Amino acid sequence: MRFEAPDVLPESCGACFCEIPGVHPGEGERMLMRKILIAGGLCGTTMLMAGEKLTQRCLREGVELRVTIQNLWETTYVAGTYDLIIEMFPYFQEEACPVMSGKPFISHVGEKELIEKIAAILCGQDTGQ
Amino acid sequence: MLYFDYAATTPVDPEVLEEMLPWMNEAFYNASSLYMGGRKARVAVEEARNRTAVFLDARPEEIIFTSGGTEADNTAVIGGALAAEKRGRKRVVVSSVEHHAVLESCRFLESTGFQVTRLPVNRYGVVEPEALRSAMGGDVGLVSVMWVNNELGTVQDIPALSRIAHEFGAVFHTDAVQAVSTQPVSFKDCKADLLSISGHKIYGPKGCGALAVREGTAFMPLLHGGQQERGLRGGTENVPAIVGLGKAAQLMAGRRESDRIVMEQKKRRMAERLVGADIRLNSPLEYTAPSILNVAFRGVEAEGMLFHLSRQGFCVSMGSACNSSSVEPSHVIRAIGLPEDFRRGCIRVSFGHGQTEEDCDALAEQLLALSGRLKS
Repeated sequence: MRFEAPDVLPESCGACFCEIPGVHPGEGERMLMRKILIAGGLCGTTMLMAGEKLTQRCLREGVELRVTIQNLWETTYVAGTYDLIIEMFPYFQEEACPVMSGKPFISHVGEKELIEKIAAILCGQDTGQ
Repeated sequence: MLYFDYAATTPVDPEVLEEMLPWMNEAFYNASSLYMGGRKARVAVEEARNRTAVFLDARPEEIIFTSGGTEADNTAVIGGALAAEKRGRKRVVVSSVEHHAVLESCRFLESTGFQVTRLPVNRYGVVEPEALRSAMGGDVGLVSVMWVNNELGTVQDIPALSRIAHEFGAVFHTDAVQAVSTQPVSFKDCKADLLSISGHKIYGPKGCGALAVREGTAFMPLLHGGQQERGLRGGTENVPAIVGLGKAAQLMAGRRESDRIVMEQKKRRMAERLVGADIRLNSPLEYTAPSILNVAFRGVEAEGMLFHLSRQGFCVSMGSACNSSSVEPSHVIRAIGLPEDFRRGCIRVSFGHGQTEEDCDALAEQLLALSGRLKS
């Protein structure tokens, strides 16, 4: 399962691909944008909710998040580049971007701390990706 | 690919397939038809019934063919409970580690006004007879406890539990789907009133199972239609699958003891390798069937292990195949009281034909390596 918006947002939001209210940039504005990959297996709903929580958290810092969700059982091929990868079980080994365990989103132990840690990484300086 | 998920399903034995094939195309007739082709199909169905009866140490007239273990369980639990309701009994007692086919049947019964008592189990999934006795009463119409648990392999004392159910005038059902490949299941001796089996767990085809029904046991049929199976299970007989089940049963009857010995050796060999402070065996040999080994790894997500094992060519599961779409610990794992940090790391290995000892060693080695690598 992959959910991916195009790289360039339209200037106005006549037909915006993102469905999250409040994300649309105003006329002439452009939010800082980050791309993350959430990769796992059976926990599709958990990954979706993790994406939603991170999106809302980063919005508070004025950062737009593009979330791609990938089921590794279907494919392990990673298309494109990301600012951060969250893995629901250990898989990624040598990636150009940081890789973090998403286990707290499953167990809900340490979830808030993880969200803050991720926000700190994503909402910092432009990574150029 | 090394297959260690025989509890999920088994490959169809070549002899079974050979016996089934003619009934797919050359002799495709409806076993209820009156002309020669139909009558031959009828003979084939009854021969399969005889073979299944011999395998279960039952009488042929006690065997009803179904579409599988799930239908057999549904028929026994729902049909048995509805029949008991006519005697004024509206409570059902089951173990808390039953297959979902039984538990979901119970949920359905609850939605119609039945009460369901779920018995606790001990650390290894065993239902203590005294726990059943404490739960019984004059309002219990049906008791259901599976002979061998599909996740842990736990073997229950079915004759003892049957006796307790009968003391209180209740009907006793056992899901023997996982039992018949390793246990000396005798319908005559076990005293159960209803017993379910499934073809695809004993090297037969999917889509066929059987319910053994002791004479005099009342149940309400679930499938209404034709007069097949003496009016107790309507629907055109799946002749090829029934023939396959009969053949599989015949073969298993001859192989069960030797299979059991080999599986015991493999299980023991693996269990001896899977030791450590962060490993718990949920299926010790003294309480469980030799076909199933459930192991818990501390601090590891079972799905991650399954994923990496799959990429290395090992097929195992993290519990019941029927429940594999969830990452949450199964109801069985929760019921045995495993510590929190082990619950999400349970892997089920199940044994069958074609595995060598070297295969078992290789899997054990990978499990140990991965549990170290994936531990959080």
